[in-house]
Parts: sequence; structure tokens; C-alpha cells
Amino acid sequence: MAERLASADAAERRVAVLDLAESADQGAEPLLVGALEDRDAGVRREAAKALAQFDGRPAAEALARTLLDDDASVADAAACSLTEMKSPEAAKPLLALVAHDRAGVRGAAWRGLRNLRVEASLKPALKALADPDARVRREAVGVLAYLKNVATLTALTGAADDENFEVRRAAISALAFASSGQALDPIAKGLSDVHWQVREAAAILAGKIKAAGAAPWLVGALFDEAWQVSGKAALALGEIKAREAIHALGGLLSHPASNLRKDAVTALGEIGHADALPYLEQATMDADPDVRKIASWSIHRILSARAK
Amino acid sequence: MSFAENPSEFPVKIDQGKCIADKGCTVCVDVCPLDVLRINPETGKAHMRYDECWYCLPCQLDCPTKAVTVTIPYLLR
Amino acid sequence: MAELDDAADLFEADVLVIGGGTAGPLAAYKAKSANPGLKVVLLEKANVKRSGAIAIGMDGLNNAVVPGFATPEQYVREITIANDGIVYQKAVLAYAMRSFDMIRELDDWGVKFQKDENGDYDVKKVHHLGSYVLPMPEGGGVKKILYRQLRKAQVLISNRYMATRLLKASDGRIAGAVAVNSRTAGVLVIRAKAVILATGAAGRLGLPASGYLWGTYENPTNSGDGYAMAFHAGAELTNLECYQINPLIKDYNGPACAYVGGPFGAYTANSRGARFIECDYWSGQMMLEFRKELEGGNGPVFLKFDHLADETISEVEGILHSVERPSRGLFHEGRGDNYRRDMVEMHISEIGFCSGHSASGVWVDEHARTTVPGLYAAGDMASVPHNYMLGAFVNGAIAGEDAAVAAASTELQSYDPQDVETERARMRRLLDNKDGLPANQVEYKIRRFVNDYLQPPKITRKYEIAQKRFAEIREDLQRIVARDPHELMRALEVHSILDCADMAAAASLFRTESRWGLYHYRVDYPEQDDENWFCHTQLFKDERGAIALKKRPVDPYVVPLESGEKGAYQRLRIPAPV
Repeated sequence: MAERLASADAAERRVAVLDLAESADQGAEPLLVGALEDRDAGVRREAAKALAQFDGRPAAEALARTLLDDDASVADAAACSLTEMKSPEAAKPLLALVAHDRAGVRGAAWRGLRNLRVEASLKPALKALADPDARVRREAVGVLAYLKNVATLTALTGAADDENFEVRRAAISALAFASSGQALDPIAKGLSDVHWQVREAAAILAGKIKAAGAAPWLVGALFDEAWQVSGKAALALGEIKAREAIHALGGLLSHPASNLRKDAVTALGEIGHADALPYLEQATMDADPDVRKIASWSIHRILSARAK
Repeated sequence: MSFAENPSEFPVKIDQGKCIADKGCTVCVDVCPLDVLRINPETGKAHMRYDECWYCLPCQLDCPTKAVTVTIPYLLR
Repeated sequence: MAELDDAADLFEADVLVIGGGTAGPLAAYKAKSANPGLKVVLLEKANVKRSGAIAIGMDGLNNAVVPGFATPEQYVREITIANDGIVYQKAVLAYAMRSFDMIRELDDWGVKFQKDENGDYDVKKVHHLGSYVLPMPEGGGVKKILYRQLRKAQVLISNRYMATRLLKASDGRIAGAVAVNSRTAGVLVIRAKAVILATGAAGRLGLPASGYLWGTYENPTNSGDGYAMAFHAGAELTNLECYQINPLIKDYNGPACAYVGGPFGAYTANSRGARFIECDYWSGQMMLEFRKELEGGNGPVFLKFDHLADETISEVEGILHSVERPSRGLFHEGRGDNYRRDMVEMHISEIGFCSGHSASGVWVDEHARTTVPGLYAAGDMASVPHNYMLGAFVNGAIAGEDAAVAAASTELQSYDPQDVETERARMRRLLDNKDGLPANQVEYKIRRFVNDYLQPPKITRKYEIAQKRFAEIREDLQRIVARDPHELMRALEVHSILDCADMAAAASLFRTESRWGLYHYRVDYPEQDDENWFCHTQLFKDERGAIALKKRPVDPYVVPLESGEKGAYQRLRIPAPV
């Protein structure tokens, strides 16, 4: 094998790396690490891909170095393999790169760190929320989100104000570990965001953490210009059993988007109050069979809860 | 018995310039679930030996030199 | 001309797993992990790296039982109702209990499931009574990951060996299998203490409307070999009349994946762009409604994305065109179709057997044991209903673990050498034929007759004609010419296809009622008849070697249905207002 890896023919060296990748043998790891230094980018790329199967310090260190490879496809392969690491030992070489000059390297390092969930990431990740590059800030949000640490709530709430919409969207989604009271501010901000996907994320968050305090804003969001946002707001109002939303939800039953009518009847069933019955009766005549189905099911739920 | 030779447009095409089967690579042959690819002993390159394609793409996606192109079989296009 | 290797190689193993797709690798891995001292062999007629139904990965789990979203008992109730009550609940419960642990184990191995921003499983609600859909937008690498685990566990992998018949001892216990190499035509006799069949669906039974033999929904190498082998070994097969029929992208004949598009807001629509499916779960009832719309005034049927936002469509495309059947994008591109603008035309598939989506297969209990001692079955060919990919993993694991225990306390059984000779003669004839029929023509003819006569709605007289035609073609099987080992493999597959066609016809004629929507819609017996047919139908080989059938009562439920629960789904279905 060593001979094949030293062949003058790059294609032969590449085939040797492919064979090593398949051997599932621990002995392959140092050879693959060596192949990361090959003069042919194709060989280095295959070696970087193959190292994904070796979890731990040596592979992580070698792959972290490879993030600096001059060939973008090799660096990308290394970044991808680093996301497969699970051992906390992989964290150290990655943390060493989070302040690297190149934004691509910083972003890849954070992406690799997310899954590892090491506390040592927390402080530098908070700092990275101020990174000049939006992609890096987005990856840092991911790292903090996986840590689910209440100490990050303020920072994530701040990131919900980021100038980049992907960062705002991620930051709002990340708050699902917060208690219902802690996330009211970002929900309110998110629901009035200029980008519909951020508003949608805020509505989803409100439903997930059952943020009852967000009900007034959610009722407002029922009339969002994007039906997707209205739908998630409706479902959230169902989750928090907002009786005050029944009539607004009923008003959605003549909306042209059947997906939204479906969400509205689902919410009316979740709220489970008899005031919704006239709306649900009306919805059992809807042209859309899914709306009729859920309306009927919701009526059944309300009536059987009342019978008990 | 005589078998008629029928012209066929093979769904799997291999760029002979890029293929490194002659260097020992057998990736596309190994990953074909229908096992219809072979190395041509004359050229040393991979080729489609049997016209039985599920247009599933592992050969194309796994090829280390991007030498393989799959097209949807004509009858389905 | 290839020569059949007359000096059959003999190999001895503790556990033999036949089929390296989804259930097979798990069975082999778990058997080996349960008892590393065992010699575990995995046979695959292509190559384990990318074989079976999930060659290029899977885009989601349809039956994930994740705590907080669903309970095993709730899942068992839903599957029971979805199958009109005819289920062996213990096997469904055995699956459901291990579903979540399997997800976590696969996750540890590197299989990617969709997680939310905080890293928790992002289970989606697609049905009304439970949440079981866990997307896998990056699920393309499943097979590579399984392959790595098999290598690590030191399972012996024999690629390019096609098992063709099982061997049994005189007392009926399993003794091993005969296999043939698809490159050399070398015959291998494998003696084993336990054998696990995991050869997938019978996906090459009906002929796709395109007429292209390989344009099937299932991986076309899933030609029903396992059903044929189990039958010839005397195992019972159950409910084969409950066909697999799927709504697919027309001509492409691959899944449109309502389970992928659904959570994003896409849906199946008629030509007016409106939803029409009243049934709430994947079933024969849904296919019946689909077929009616397809052929009615509002047809054909489409998958509708064009009402979604551009960002959403890009995300859906990213999944649909990279995982499970990635050539979908290529297909749409060829026709100039764009999800943003065009609805995607759908069609109804040809028939097949597959427990992954329906309820048929080789009968197994909650330990994946068939009715032949020492023989197991798992995955799409085994009878645990609505199994999908995760069920194949779990039931493969169950089979592997039970087989490991069985193998440790059993000796290798002796088999009748004449059985090997008979099998060798079957193969030799095909290779020796100088004159005869090409396998693909015989196959085309069988599968065309399957479409002409067996595709539901089922009509008794048509089924009788089919049986007559199949009997005629059976004579032709011996005349197939195999010019090389690959063609021998294909010719032997055609033998399995005919066996499956015969079994489909016999099972359908036996059950004189209609059930499971379109899957078993008999025009001559249009009503469901619970009084006489609330039972499994067991198909087996009688003393004369012919197909025989009997009823098997439904075992008492381990998860009783609450009163009125059966009607719950029915209540959901409200016809359109006039």
C-alpha cells in the first residue's frame, strides 16, 4: 500500500486512497493523513473524504489543517468530514481555527464544533456573533443553539436583530429551549421582520414553547401577507389554546389558500372551545377534503371533551 | 442460435479521458445495484455492458473523477 | 458460453443472510454483534455498497415512533386500522418498541436525520392522529454507512452471489442455500444453522406503463427471489392479494414523495389544482380514490408545488433531486418542467408485493421467524405491515439477534444432495441452451399479462385466463438462453417473477371479497365480508408441489382498539359537498 501511495501516477495514488477508505481498518488512518499532503488535489480530496470515518483527535487535527488547503474542493471535503466527528477530542484543533483570517475556515470550524457540544465553544461562539462575515455568525448561532445553555439567551435574542436574515432566522429558531416567557421579545421582533421566513420562524417558535404571552402578536400575524406565516401563527395559537383567537381564526376559513384553511381548522380543534363549532361546521362543507377532515375531527374532539 | 444486433442508446456514458479504471479503479462497477457495468478488457476503461438501467445514479455520484454521465432511458423521457 | 462450475464449492456458516440491501445488513450486523464467535455470511447478488431499495439513500422515515410524538401502542392501533384490522399485532408492536432505539443507533453511525436548530429530531405531522414522519434531507449515505459497520464487525460479505434455492433437512429444519455467482456461474452450497431471507420486494412483477422493464418503482433487482425461495422451501406466505400499488411520477415511475413535499405544503391535486384524496393514510383506499380521480373528469392527477414560495421550492428540490431517486431533477429538466410553474403529472404504478407499503409477505412472527424452523425473513418481503425502511432495519435486527441465539444451540443440518443436483440442472439447462428465448422477452410477456389480467380491479375470469397463460409460459422457462453468468442471473430472476405472478393470482382468487381498497378490489365480490374473511390468507406449497391456500385467524390483539376507534378514520372522510 505504501508503494501504491508513492506511485508517480496520481490516478494510481487516488485508487490506493479509495482502497484504504474501504478497508475499515484503523491502520488506514495514518496513511490517509499522509495522503492529505499529496501533491495532487484529487488524491487529497479523496483522503479528506475518507477520514470522515475516523472519529477523534488525529483525524480531526489533520482535517483541521486541511481546511487551509489551497484547493477549495479539498478544503470543502475536509469541512464536510469534520461535521461527522463526534468525539469531544476533535474540538481542540477546531477551536484553534475559530479566529483564523479566512472566513471560510472560521465557518467550517464552527460547523464542525456544533455537533461536539463542548462547553469550551460557548465563550468564543458568543464572541463570533459579532464576526464580520454573516456565514460565520450563522454557524456560531448553530453552535450556541446546540448547547442549549440559558447563559446564551441574551446573545441569541440579540442575534435575532442581526442584519442578515439567515442569522435572524437561525437565532429565533434556536430559542426553542427557552421558557415561554423568555422568548417573548424575539418572537415579537421576529413576527414583524421584513423577511417572511423569519416571521414564520417566530410563529413556529411561539407554538413550540407555547408562548401564551405572544397571542396578540400572533393574532396580528394571522393577516400576514404570506399565508405561510399566517398558517404557523394559527397553529401556534392552537398550541397555546388562545380562546381569544377563535373569531380571527374563523375569519381565515374563506382564505383562498387551502393550506391556511387547514391550519386554521387544526388550531380551532386544538383550542377545543365550543365557540369554534359554528366555524367548524362551516368548514365541513369546504371544497378541500383535508379541511373537511380536520374540521370533522376537531368537532369530534370538542364534543367528546364536553361530554366528559 | 443467432441474436439480432439492435442499436441502443446506453443511458450510462463514460468519458474515456477521465476514467481511471485502467489504474485499478472499480468504483462505478462496484456501486451499480444492477451490476451492468464492466471494465472493457481492450481499453481498460469502464463501460455499460448490459442495457438494464434503473437511472439511480450511484455510478455518476461516486465516480472519483466525474467520468460518468447518466441520462434517463429514452422510453421514459 | 459460460460453463457451470460442476465442482460445487461448499461453505459452512452459522448464520447466512441472503440480501445485502436494508434488512440484510442489519441482520448480519446484529447476529455478529450478538455473538462475535459466529461465522456470519451476507450474500448479495450485486454489491452491498449500493444495493437494494435504498441504493442511493432515503429521504425520510415514514414510521418513526419517537417519544413525545407517538407511542408504540398508538402506532400499533393506527397500523391495525390502516390494514382493516388484519394484522399480527405482536410483530407490529415488536417493531414499534425498538423504532426509536434504532434511530439513535443509526444516528450514532452517522445516518443523518433532520434535526431542528437545537439538534433535536424534527418530527413532522403528516397524518392527523399521530406524528411519524422524520425527514432525512441528507439521507444519501445510508448504504455506505451500513457497509462500514459490516466491515468493522467483520461480517463475511459475498458480493455477486445470487441465492436461488433453500436447502432443508429431512426433518424440515433449514440447512442452507444454493447460490450462483453472477460473474463466473460458479455454484456455491452454503450450509448454515440459521438462514435469514432479506431479498426485498417483488418489484418486477407488473410492467411499468412505459414498457421499460427496468423502470420500476422498486430496485428492479428485487425480482421476488425471496418469495419464490420461501415458497419452494415450504414456508407460508400471507395476504399476497394485498398488492403494492403506488402513486408515482408518470413515466419516471419514481416516488413523488408526498412525505417530502407534504410538510412543506405540497399536495396531490387533480387537474383543477384541488385536493381530492379523502383517505388520511397511505393505503389501498387512498389508491382507489387516486385511481377514480385519474380516470374521472377531473383527471389526471398531479403533485402541486406551484403555490409555494420560491425559497420553499428550492429547498424541496434540494432534497428530491439529491436523495432516494436523484435523477428526478434530470427527468423534469428533460421535459422542461419546473415545480415553480408546472404541476407534476402523476400516475398509478404497476402491481408488486411489498410489506414496506402494504401488508403481504412471507409470514413472520414477532421474532422474524417464518414457519420453517431456522428460517427467518425481514424487510419488504416479510409480513410485518407498513414497514418502510426503518421497519426493515428493526426487523432485520430482530431476525439477526434471534438467529444468533438459534445458531448457537443448533448443529449444521444435512441436506439431500439431490436437491443441489436439481438446482444445478435448472441452471445448466439455461446455460446449455443453444437455441431458445431471450430472458427479457419471456419476462416482458409475463409482466404484460400481469398488467392485462392481474392489475386491479380484479375480475375472476381474467384471473383464470392469466393462470392459463402463466402455465403455458412455465413451459417456456426452460427454453431461455443464458449466454453468460449475468444472463443466467436474469433468467433465474424471470423464474422468480413467474412464481410470484402465480402466487398473486392464486391468493387473489382465494379471497372472495373486496378489502384494502384498490389492493384487493374484486369486481365480482365488491363488498368487504368480515364474517368469512376477517382472517389472514396463508399460501403454501402442498405435497404435490402446487400452490395451496388456507385461512389463519387474526390473533387476539395485544393493543386493543378502543370502541369507536375503528370509525375514527371513517369519520374523517367527508365527501365533497354537492
